[in-house]
Amino acid sequence: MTVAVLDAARRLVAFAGEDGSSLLRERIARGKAHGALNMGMGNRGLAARAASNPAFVNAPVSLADGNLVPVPGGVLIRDDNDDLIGAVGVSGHLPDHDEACAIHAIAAAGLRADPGAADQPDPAIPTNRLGDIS
Amino acid sequence: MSYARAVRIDLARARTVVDQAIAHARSNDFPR
Repeated sequence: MTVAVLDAARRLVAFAGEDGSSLLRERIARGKAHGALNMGMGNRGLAARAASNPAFVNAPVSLADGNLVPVPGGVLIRDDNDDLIGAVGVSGHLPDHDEACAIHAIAAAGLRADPGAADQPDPAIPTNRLGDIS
Repeated sequence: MSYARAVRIDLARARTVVDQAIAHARSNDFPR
């Protein structure tokens, strides 16, 4: 298992890769965390967008130079005020299990995990946009 | 919903997140 924790400015704060982890895991873990921060949503939401609207994710993947891996296992970290303070990326097993490790770890640190949701609205689009027009 | 600002996770908690994620993987016998 390989784990990377980034702060809200996407700087690497803590990292560990278990003995025997394959070489690409480090980049995958960091990419999962980067992607969640880059897009403002946990990777479960990004994965759903990638499935339903590939262009939504494919273009940002290119723009981010690979620092966006839209697979569960990238989870935003929020504090008691719901402020975004970082993200964790986990890679090593099935995406659902990677995500479970991340959620468990964030809770154990006394923080709030935000893994995203398949039906999560795009945070870049205000929900009252149509109301503003009228 | 909030976005990245000048707030950050502290080092101690970041290390706890790393350790606990790996501990959870080991307790479930996930591959390395």
